[in-house]
Amino acid sequence: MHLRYIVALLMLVGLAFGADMRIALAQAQPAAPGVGVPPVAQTPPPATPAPVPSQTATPPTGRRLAAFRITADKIVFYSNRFVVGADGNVNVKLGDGTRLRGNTFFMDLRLNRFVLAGNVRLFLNDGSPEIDGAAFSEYFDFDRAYFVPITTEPDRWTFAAGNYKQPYLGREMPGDTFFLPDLSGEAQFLTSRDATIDPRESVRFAPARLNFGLARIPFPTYFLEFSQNPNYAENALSGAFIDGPYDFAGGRNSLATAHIRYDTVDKVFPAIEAHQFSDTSYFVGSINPLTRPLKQYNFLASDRLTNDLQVQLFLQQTAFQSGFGERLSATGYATLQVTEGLPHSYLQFQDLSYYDSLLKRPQTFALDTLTGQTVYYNGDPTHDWVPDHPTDLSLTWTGFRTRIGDLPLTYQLRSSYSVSTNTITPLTTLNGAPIYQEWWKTFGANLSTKPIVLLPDPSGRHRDLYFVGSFDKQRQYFSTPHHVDTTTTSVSLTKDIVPTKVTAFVSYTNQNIGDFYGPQQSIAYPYGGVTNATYTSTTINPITGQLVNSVPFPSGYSAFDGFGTTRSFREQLVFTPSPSFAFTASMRENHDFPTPIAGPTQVVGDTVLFENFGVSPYEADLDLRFRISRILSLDIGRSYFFGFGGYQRWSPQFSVQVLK
Amino acid sequence: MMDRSFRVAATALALAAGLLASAGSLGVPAGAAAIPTPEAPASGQTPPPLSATATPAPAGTLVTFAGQILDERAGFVFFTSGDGFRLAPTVKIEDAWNGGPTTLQPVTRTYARATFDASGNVIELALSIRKLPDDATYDDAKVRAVGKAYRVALSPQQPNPDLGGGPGSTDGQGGGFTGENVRVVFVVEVPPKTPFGDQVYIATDKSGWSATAIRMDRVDSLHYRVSLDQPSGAKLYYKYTRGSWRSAERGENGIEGKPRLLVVQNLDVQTKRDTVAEWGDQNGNAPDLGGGVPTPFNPIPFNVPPPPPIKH
Repeated sequence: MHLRYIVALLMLVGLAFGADMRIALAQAQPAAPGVGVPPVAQTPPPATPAPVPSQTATPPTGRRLAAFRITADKIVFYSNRFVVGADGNVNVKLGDGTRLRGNTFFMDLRLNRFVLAGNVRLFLNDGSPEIDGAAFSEYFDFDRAYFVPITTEPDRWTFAAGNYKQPYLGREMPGDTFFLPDLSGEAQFLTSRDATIDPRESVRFAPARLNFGLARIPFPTYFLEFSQNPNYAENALSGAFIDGPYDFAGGRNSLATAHIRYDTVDKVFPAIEAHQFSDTSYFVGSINPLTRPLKQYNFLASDRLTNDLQVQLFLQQTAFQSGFGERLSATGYATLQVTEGLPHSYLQFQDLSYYDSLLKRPQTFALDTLTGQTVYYNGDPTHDWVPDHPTDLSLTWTGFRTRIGDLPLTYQLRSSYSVSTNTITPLTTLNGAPIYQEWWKTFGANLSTKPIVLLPDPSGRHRDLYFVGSFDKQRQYFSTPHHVDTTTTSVSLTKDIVPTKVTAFVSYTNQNIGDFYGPQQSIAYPYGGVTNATYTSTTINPITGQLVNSVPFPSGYSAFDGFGTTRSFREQLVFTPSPSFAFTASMRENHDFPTPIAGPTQVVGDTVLFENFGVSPYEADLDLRFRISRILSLDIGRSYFFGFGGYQRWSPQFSVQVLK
Repeated sequence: MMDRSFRVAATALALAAGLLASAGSLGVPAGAAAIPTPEAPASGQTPPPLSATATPAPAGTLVTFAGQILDERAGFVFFTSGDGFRLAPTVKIEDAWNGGPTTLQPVTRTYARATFDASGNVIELALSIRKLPDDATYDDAKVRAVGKAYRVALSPQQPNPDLGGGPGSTDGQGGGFTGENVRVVFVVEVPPKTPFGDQVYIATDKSGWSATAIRMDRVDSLHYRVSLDQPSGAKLYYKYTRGSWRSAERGENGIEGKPRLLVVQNLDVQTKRDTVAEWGDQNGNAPDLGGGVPTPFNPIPFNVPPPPPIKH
């Protein structure tokens, strides 16, 4: 029983950590000079000369979209509502130097506007006499500020584009200009006394006390990025079972995040990630994990040079090293992708390169008793040095999807020219001859239907039966004398049983692949008909592509001679009674040739591999999603595989997401 | 063994959910109200933009005006409608619910019902920490008319050309949005080559651009749908993904585009229909990039590791 409570407590903490809580590691910002709290006026303020109204509007400049700072006795962030509230001695310093003082402040980060109410005093940045008022509201997107001043009597002023000298007097204001949101009952995500808000970008609370439910824990800073630019969310970390990110530093174009992660191999470990981004580019680097010898250094870059040209680069080094000392092994992987938009089509160049070792040849070596070859290594023979450098290059042309007249049919064409190369290990062998380089051309076409009503619902309740079909044909010609044909046909039927609430869906996919070598078919696939054979030397299995050595040959594949068929039937029922609840049940059934072979699981790094040949014939999935609150959603999934030798059965999935 | 661990996890989850439920969605300790907020109305929804109601005055009788106070200062009381009213020197402060004396002060966020005399001065201010019920149902025009009739303002009201671009604008400029929650329904058509078993998500700036934050429900093999509640006037930037940024949508020309924008209008339900032209991991002849002998059992013939899994 106690264990359950402990687990529950841990889950709560996990929830909080998974909530993208950005625990503060950076230093607190020093107090801004010049922000003082003027004495509260005890008597009606002296009359201020009313500014002369403008005759023409000043065009918006957006100059006040710069970050501004708030200090107050208490600042609260209501993450459910995306609202920052402040009470008591509220001081606001806008980006243009204008200062405001008041009793109560609210800013809706989604609507990008704030209101300051009660005992308001406006301090202009040019030293003009301050102006008292009842409320001040700033609409950043509109570049307008609305003010209820009290001179000799109340009035209504509108400031356009930060021109405080020439307000529009008496101008009508939006109806909800001074609306104060009702936040009673809303959870407080954190409290602070100092916040810097960059409109439409980010907010930093420094220091902050984060509300973990059971306790409020102080941190030097809490940084929340909510930019409209998705590039800051690009990431270069490999997957982990649990990931808790803490954005500890950032700005309009940068973000630094520390991660606490967990996986089955490395257990709990830290990682770090840094972003630089603009509207059209991003550069992300990461080191993961920081405290384990097997580290992954990732770098991701993308730049949209023009609306029709984009360059993307991914670099990865996997190194074995203690701390950040000498590397005993280091492999590299790089992809470069250049995409050029053309009228009605686009071109894409892609380079995939893999470096088995980035290190120079070690001095130490040993003799492999199995192969008789010399194996060079660093540290110990497990860190052997392999100078292979496989590379794939391809240039692909893809046409836009085009509708055929008024028919509910679309088509899309594609073609490519590719080459694969390796230096040491042959790509494959044909009739005993190693092949180190291969070129091939690809031509493909896809024909698909739009949803077609097969059986209209006579009741008019939109419970029609829809049909969607797709046919895809591809041929590839290789420099070695063979070609590969791939034909994929899929059809699906959908019916709303209860409109927008219960939907039934069935699909069938058939894929045929044939590797045609003509008279050399049995040479290319020499294992046809062989059973219980064993590889006796380091080679590449032509069927699976796996590097094998003394591995029993999968006898079930003995019938495979280059031709395979996959037939997949899927049924799905989706139940969505409300936007906050969804239940999905689905079933997949595969009939494949060659018959799949199940294998044991293997853990490699943080990845669980199933040494299967093919996929399991049957799979049942249940998925339940429930939105607990505006920011908290629960997703429980359960998959069961059967008819697969008992190696792979349950594949539980469970996730709790906290949305900002 | 797995079932047992699942039961334990489910129990823990239930406990956690219970704790969460008992403590608010993020577990607010009891009595931890940082900002003293007046009690919410029963609905808990966004009040109407003009948070005031009024009883029109038959000739010669008193008029009342109810709303939320912005400030009381220099002999005036201001409401969130932006209107300021002159307080009579002998204004009576009382409890709005029983008419008796009250300890409340007419400060920011307090609800009040102002009673005017024939000259437009507030002679009675009934206060409450709870939103006051509407005296009657009147349209905004009448409310505004009363506010306009009695409010004190040095300058005559002028029309505002800025307000023309409010509801209906596609860039979110202009005012006139009520801020009330609107159910926004997104329906997206995906490319025909989208795998049947894949999930489709919508990533938004309001969810930290998490690529798996909001999962969509299947409509048919080409369409997915999801409903979100957003305040009117909100600008929502979003993109469709298949669970990671590598598989996020791309333009018809294969290039990552800017995020889509939706300005939430003053509607009960707003439907947005989109089409995804390409997925980032499927553009071009991506299946060919694996190697020189592509068979279904030979996806990566050179032992080249696939790109690392991405966390989103």
